[in-house]
Amino acid sequence: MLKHGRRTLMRAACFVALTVCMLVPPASRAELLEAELKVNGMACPFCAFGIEKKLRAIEGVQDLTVFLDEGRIELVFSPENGASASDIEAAVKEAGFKLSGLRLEVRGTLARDTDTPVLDAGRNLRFLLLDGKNEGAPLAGEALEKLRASAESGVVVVNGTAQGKVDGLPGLVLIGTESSGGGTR
Amino acid sequence: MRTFLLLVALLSVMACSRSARVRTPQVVLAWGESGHEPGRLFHPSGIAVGADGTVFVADTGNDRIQAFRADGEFLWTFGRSGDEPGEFRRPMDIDIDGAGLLYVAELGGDRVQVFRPRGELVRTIQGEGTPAGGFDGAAGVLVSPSGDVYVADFYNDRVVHFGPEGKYIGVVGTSGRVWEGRLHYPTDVAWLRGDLVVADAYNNRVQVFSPTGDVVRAWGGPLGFGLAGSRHGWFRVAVGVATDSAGHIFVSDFKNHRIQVFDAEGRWLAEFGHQGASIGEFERPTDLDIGPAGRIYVVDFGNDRIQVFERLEDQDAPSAARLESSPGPVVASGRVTDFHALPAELDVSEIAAAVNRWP
Repeated sequence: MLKHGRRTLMRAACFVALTVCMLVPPASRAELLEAELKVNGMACPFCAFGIEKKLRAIEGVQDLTVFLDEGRIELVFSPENGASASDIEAAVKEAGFKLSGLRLEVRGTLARDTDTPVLDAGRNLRFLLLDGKNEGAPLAGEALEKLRASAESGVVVVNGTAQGKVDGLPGLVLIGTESSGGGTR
Repeated sequence: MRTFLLLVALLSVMACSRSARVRTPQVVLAWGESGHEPGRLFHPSGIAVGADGTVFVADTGNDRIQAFRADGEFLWTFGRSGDEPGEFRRPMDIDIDGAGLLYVAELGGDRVQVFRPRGELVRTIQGEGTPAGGFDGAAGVLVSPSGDVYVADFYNDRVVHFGPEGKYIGVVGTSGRVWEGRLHYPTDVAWLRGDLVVADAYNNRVQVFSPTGDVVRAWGGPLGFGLAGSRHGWFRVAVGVATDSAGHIFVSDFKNHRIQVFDAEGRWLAEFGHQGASIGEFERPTDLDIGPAGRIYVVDFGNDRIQVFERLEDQDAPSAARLESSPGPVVASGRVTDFHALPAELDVSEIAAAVNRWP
């Protein structure tokens, strides 16, 4: 009888655990995925490869390609990285240069209980999504709803051009979206 | 007064006449195609020519070293991207010691690796013992005749001195602009009769230091303050330096797309090259070295090639058109002549005309 009771208890525990797993949304895999930088004056090898050196030191940079003659660098980040746009800006500055453009691919969660289009990319990394077709105003109305609809479990991947702070948050002018979800990149 | 001025003008003309003609180096050989296959180059930055004429190129964009014969024929390559021993993170410069060992400075790897000519790693200099804990961008390397090693430490604005076994000895230069002794992103070092010639790249000048760090001289811009420009003796990013047995100093003037030549006292002697992709032209030359026969080997960075120059008598100089149309490397022979100091630029006729206009 004791054995039967123990078995029942275990079955109940499994049922509860499974129910909890189904109800709780998957952990938000929120982070920078890719970045494309433009830097003026990167025409010399010491400049270009010096910037590369500083960027490679950012935790989470998995791969980096320098297009020296185009003044462009592409970064790929490892999963669950903690890098931010300001890390990128700081690295370029440490190399003695200034960003002339920064495009980011970011995975994050859209806040549902507000009309403000904030993308929460975790680890204190948040962006205010801006509408490039509406003079950089915060994303709103149909455009915001479309973005929300493309999300899976609230997680969305967006491509945007980094802007300075807008209403206290780094701005991201939306270029496009990718298929969302928790797939590992 | 008029007679005095005319006398001065006449004496100046006589001085000009006694000075010999300048022999500007002429291109005699060029090789290199852009790419990643062995033998091709991608953003090359450094060069060193061995006593036997073998040319070693820091093929920076490909993170490897490539060896060529003196006539440009590809020999071998070694290295690949990475942080492990024997791998490279942006090899920028090479030098060769008296035993034929290659010293390779890595901007991204923050180290100098020492190899046998075929790529067998011998040892690594990580900058242990240096103030600020090592290199921040090892951009240039020099091995002195005694085997001491000097490293242009790019972001630390200094040249670090090591003994032959890699033990830290001291530092040359401090960070800064304008004033002598200050360095701003130095990229190369050369040996000149016991002194160090430093490419003070982003101060747009060259500085000569004693091994103990005293400034011997500096030039580039007005009074050596490093104002960028294109005049004789001015620079727009002085990236590479080399010296020959006669004490001439060769400087790759990166953004002016030329090589300038100076005597041991820093006096301007000659220049060659201008911007372009034709043979004899440059697109941002970086490093250079002097070969056993006095030939000047230049890394033509933006054109992904090596060009070789020789100081020839005018009648021996090959035409650029013939070099361009020839398949493969082309070699021309000629006697190496010496440089002579340029006469002061003086237009006597203008002075005479001005004097005659006086009442």
